[in-house]
Amino acid sequence: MSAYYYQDANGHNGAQYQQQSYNGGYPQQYPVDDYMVPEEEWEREAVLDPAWERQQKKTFTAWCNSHLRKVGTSIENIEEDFQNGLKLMLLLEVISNEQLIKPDRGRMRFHKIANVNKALDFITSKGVKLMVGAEEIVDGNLKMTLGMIWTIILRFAIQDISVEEMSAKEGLLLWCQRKTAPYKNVNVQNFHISFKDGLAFCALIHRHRPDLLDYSKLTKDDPLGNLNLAFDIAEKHLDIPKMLDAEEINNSIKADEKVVMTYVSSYYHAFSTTRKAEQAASRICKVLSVNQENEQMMAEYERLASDLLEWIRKTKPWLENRATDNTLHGTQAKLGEFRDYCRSQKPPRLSQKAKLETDFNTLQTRLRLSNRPAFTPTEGKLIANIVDAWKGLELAEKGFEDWLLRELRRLERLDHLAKKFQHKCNIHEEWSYGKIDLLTSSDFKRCSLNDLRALSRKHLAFESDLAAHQDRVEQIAAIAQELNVLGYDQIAMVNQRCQQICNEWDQLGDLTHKRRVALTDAERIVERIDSLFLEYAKKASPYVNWLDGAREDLVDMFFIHTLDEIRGLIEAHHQFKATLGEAGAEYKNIIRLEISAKWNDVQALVPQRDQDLETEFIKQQQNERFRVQFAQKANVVGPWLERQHEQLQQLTVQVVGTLEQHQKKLESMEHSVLQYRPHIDELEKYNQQIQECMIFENRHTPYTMEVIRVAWEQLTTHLTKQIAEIKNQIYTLEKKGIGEEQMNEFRATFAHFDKSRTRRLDPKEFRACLIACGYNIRDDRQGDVDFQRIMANVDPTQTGFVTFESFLDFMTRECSEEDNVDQLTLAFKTLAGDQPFITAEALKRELPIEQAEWCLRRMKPYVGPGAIPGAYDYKIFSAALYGESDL
Amino acid sequence: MDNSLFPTVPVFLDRSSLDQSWGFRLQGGIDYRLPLSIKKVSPNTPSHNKLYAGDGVTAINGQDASSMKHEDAENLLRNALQIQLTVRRGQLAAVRPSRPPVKFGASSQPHVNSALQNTTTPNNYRRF
Repeated sequence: MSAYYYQDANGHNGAQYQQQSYNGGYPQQYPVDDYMVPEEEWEREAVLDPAWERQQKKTFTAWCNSHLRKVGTSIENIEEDFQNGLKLMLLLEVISNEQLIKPDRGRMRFHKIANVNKALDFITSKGVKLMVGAEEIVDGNLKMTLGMIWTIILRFAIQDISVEEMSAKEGLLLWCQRKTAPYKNVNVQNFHISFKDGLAFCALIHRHRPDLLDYSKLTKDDPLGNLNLAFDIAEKHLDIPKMLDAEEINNSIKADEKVVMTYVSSYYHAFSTTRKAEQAASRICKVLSVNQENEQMMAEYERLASDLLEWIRKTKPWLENRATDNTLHGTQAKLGEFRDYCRSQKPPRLSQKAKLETDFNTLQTRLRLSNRPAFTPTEGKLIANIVDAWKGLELAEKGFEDWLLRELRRLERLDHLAKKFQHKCNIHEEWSYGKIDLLTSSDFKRCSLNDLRALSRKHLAFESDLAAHQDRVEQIAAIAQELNVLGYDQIAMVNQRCQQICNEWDQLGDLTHKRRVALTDAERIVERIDSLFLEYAKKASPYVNWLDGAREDLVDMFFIHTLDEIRGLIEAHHQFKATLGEAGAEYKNIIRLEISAKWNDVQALVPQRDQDLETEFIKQQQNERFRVQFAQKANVVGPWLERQHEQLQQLTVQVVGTLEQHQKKLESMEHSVLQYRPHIDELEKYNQQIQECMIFENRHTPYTMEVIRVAWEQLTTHLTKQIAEIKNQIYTLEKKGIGEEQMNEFRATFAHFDKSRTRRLDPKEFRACLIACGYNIRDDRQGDVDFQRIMANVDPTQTGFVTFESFLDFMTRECSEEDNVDQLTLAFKTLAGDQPFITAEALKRELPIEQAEWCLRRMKPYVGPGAIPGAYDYKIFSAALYGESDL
Repeated sequence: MDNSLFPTVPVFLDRSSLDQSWGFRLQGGIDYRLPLSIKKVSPNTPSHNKLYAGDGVTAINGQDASSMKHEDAENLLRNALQIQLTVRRGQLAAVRPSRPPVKFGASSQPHVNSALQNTTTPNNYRRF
């Protein structure tokens, strides 16, 4: 730092630290201290340059008023208003922030002198040697008064600007030079010339508050404009009253450096105040943002909880609904809806539920760590409520699925049975058509013996036929019975038809008997037996019957579920085909038209049956392929999920490495798990194929889709929870200001005394624990008292136990003894310009707009001395933020 | 909890008007997980020399304060000209350890991570 030269009022040049006695008479008697130099200078002058005197008066008055206004007073005439010493004392109190001795109340001269002396004594007590006497001030000596004020300014406003151990003046100059360095057209070398064109003032403002002026538009050519601009802006936005006269500064060859220094020092303080204000504002913002985040989390929790509960409320009735249209198709559609629900509706809801739980825990942790009250959700939205509702939902789901599958099986069987019933009935009715008429005909009354014998034989054949049909009718009845049991919806019609058939059957039986009797009677009259015919009849009817049976069986519907069954049927069919050969041989012996017709039918049906069986075989093969496909995939996915579960369980029980490392491990696991999702989707596709083919068992794998789905959901939920847990722990450490090692020590200590592994200590265990932590809890009455006192703090709600959280809070409470309330209050006080209340404008000016509005919503109006409308009480607010109240 | 060793004393305070402050700062309450207690006392106030920083408040006007919310306690105190507090002296006075703590070797047992977990949500899952 180069030394600088100045010219004094009489045009003498001199380097610093050197002073010449040019005013004759007064020797240099005092040790030369840095800031004393200017004072000596003025003291020696007999006459103050009138211009400078004017400037000083104006500037110093303005400076005094900028401070006096804080206590609601001001001066107009600097030499008069300080005469009685009272305002002088006030000024000193304001700028020093200290209390002076009480002034004497009285109007007499000696009172005034006493008061002025009190002020001067105070100044002296701050290490200033004064050359002015109280009388001179009381007498209104302008020069002396100005000199005294300058001393005060130097001591209280400029001396503190000690930059790198220089004199105050040097320090202030250096500060100006540093701040204006980037501005090429500004060159600060001294106080009486360098500031004349006004650019230096503008640069200082622009450097700290570029939003206040556009420096690029300024030039040297308009010094008056620059000066006025700077003074205006400083007054309006920086709260620095105008202390200099632009014309005076501009017109004088050399400005009075004292006044310039006074004004510049105000800039210095304004911008350092800005720094202080910035610090205060950021401290406030930090505190508030924690609260705002917490409030947001609480609101989000409530919203999610309502949403989830509402969805559960809407969905449960659907799952409990057992209405059915009793058709296979309708029920299958319902199953499809259910699968859709499981696949697309439920997973996001499951994540929502997991998120609610983790958010709740995180929120409580954060609240606890910021000394805020615990969060109680509104009634009905507690975690317990949500868990209950969810359980109810899952129960309903299971019931629904089981019911659907049962229904499908039932309806499928019904479908098959009904078809079988129809078919058998049709065939029977076809057979029985016209029989009654035949049986009741009296065609035998006019027959020859041969004819009669024929009729009789015919009847016998019919009787065999009837007998052979017996079990067919019984089958029909059996099917009808089963349809009843299974609750076939068109059972009325079935029963009716069955009844009809049975009645008819009974009737047939009855009629047959009657005819037999009639014929036998007739035969007894007419004797004729054609043994060949009889033999023929006996042969033909079972054959016909066999053909009918064969025909029916060939078109019998089959109810197949496994490959083995179909193989059995195919085998039977082949055997049947083999018998055809034999039957064919027999056929050649017994040729009748109807038999030939029936034979042709059977022949035609065989290839059809071949084809049907073939189709079914292919279908079963495909089913088997689907089973295998699913099984192969499931046998890979299932074990993978099991391994992930194990890995996660390991990570849950033990933290290896630092918490951050652990968190990274969990997060990378979560990432790789999520990437596995496509495999699960593929498995779902295979599963869908299987369900569409109505396959219910799969012996190739022990895993079902439901099992895999559940395992997947559990895995993702568990991961989310663990990650949140670790984050909370890291956050706890940050907030508590303790390291991981210390936290682990706390944990180890606690665990050591938690013999019962209940994660809490009873009083005896806790007492031992305290002693281990180094607390002196003696085994006597005093020790008991001390212990009870600690217990009352650690367990304020008197549960009788100490949880790890309470233990941790207690041990770390010592670490953060700072008074948060006072610090916050101080921060607000800074922003409020040292006043006991703060205005909305000040809040909006100093804080980001959302924080300001947040405060305004919660702050109470200030009631107290000096209250103005629109004043808010920040003390109560700050205390309330920490759960304290001043009463 | 046996509090026989830790007796309470009654403290009577009165003031001339509701505008005059009692002169102490109240902290705690059941919702803040801290006992209701006095944080600091200002001089030249009705509570000066009657209440001290660190005193615990166990009852207000006979009502048990151990399960009171901060706001409720505050309201009881704000709107009264006379109050009777039951106070446990020095309840929150800091007790400091006088010896360094014993270290429990963490290497002998795995870190019981679960100690810090919230006990209301058990960490179990179903193996299949």
